[in-house]
Amino acid sequence: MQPEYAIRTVNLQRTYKTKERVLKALDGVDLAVRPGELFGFLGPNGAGKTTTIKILTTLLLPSGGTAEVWGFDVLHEADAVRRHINMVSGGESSGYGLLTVRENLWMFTQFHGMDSKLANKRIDELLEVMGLADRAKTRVSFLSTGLRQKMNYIRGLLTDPDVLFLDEPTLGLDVEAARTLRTYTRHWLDTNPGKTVVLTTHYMQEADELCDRVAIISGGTILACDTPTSLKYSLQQDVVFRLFTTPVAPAFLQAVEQIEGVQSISQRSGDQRDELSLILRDDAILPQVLSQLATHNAGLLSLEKRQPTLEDVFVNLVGHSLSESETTA
Amino acid sequence: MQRFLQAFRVGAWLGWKTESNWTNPLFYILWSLLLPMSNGLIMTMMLRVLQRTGNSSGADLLPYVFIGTVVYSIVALLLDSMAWAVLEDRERMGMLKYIAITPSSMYGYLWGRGFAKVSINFLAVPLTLTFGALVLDIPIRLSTINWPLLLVVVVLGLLIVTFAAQILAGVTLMIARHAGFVGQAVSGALYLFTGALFPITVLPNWMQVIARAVPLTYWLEGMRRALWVDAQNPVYNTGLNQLSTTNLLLILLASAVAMAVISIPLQRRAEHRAKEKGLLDMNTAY
Ligand SMILES: Nc1ncnc2c1ncn2[C@@H]1O[C@H](COP(=O)(O)OP(=O)(O)OP(=O)(O)O)[C@@H](O)[C@H]1O
Ligand SMILES: [Mg+2]
Repeated sequence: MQPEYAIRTVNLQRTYKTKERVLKALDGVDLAVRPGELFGFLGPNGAGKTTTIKILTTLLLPSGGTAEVWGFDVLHEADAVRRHINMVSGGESSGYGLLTVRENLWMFTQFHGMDSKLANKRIDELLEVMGLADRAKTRVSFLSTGLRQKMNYIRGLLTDPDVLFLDEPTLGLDVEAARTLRTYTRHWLDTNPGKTVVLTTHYMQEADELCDRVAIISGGTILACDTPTSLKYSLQQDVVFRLFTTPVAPAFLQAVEQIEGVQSISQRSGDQRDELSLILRDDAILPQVLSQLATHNAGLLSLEKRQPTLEDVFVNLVGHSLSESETTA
Repeated sequence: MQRFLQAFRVGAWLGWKTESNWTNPLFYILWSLLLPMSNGLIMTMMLRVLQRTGNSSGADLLPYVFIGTVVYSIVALLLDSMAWAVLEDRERMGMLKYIAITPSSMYGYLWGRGFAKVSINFLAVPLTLTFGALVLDIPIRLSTINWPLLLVVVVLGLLIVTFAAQILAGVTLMIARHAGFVGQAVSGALYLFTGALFPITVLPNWMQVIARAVPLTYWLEGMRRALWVDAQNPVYNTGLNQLSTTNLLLILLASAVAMAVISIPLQRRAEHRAKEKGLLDMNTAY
């Protein structure tokens, strides 16, 4: 009995009122996610990703618009929504320190009224998958942050939700653990048709490799929403260059942005050199950019023409790269 | 109802697991005796000193004070327990949001936490009272205890305190701050206004009005009447000795009902408010 949409929002709004100001965190978000999809949210800090997830998981009320999860309204049918969802947010160390890993996990199956024997069987399976099997009897207070996060991920899957929300689940995990988590999430979807995952992430590659569809969100609005391939295809008519240069001044970037035919330029400063991503409407514009480089006394170290990535799509839409927004945030 | 019981079970289980983490049962018994006993002893000593300095009215208030403080110790514990669970889960454990998104009843869960707290600490009351009877010569005798009255009063009293605790938890849920002080402030204030420590007749008139409006005042009086044959003797001038025990029980019953009627919609309101303000995953930098 699958609904037509796993998630459906229409003109979703959310404002936060603090003493100093009123902040529009979500400004008209429309989403339609089908059962079976792995749907990604990509956006800079403060874009509204967590706010969306909090509304969809019934933790926060919308200020306007409607949201349905698995066919139920988050406002009026919150209890029904809760029977179908679970959520994991990364980058935190939650858990009852005095309980063991197994007890923590078991406890949550009981909130869902799961049969205890079935619960323990699933706990064992998932502990095995996440490489935590030998820690089942360890007190949670003795676990590192990353291990707690793995436990938290297991908690999310344990109740076999129809819609699983993952808010930056790999934040703070080591490379190996992050890969395990991604692989297993995909595997879980593939072996359980109809299950749906909504994932927010800062990692372009994660979104690109993992997600069936990606919504790019910034300032509380969705700027684009499509499969990673189509999103990249939208830049196919443009050409993307990667340049390594000696450090360049902001004036150079401004000058380049003025050039007719330059879609976007973004800078990632490294040690002694800068990496520039340049999206041009046409190859022929490149010489003008290079001449600006000379004008601003910067040297070209290397130049490469490449396929557009999701990051390029992001820069093109949001106006700056994710890493830039992180350093300025 | 099933959701309530399910959540209650989990809450009670968690409470027991985390709060009775005793490797040795002897430590547990010692620990549970420590607080009420030290309260009882301090009050006894103070009273003795006062009586020696000549301020005595002639009546020995020792049984009054001893029963009041010992019984009140469990009130303080229970009153604070649910608000504390909210704070601990929300701030220190970061778990309240994960509980909130399950299809279970937060109300039931909090009752479970409160129940665990009471059941862990309840033994302390009879133990301390026995200690009082044997060592301090408090006139509590197994043969003179009014057992049926005791049972009824205990049940009604615990219900009243539990609903009150629920109200405090609801308030805590709506406060965007580390509101650990709420429970303490209330139980501190009630200590004064319930006649736990001294008869309410020593209070100024306007304070007596407040004290007479607090259900716990009648609970402590009921406990004294059940445990201590002389509780209603006019020499103690408790201000309540005119009240018949039947009326006292009716007041307790009405209070329990009233508290329930307030607490249940308040919890719903509090959850709604917390969702409106986004407080369920609040972290106020503990
Ligand atoms: N409880 C709150 N009170 C006031 N403002 C808030 C609150 N929660 C979030 N905001 C604001 O709402 C905006 C959106 O926040 P949100 O957490 O949804 O962003 P995000 O996309 O998840 O960002 P990040 O990548 O940093 O996790 C931000 O500007 C944030 O400061
Ligand atoms: Mg976020």
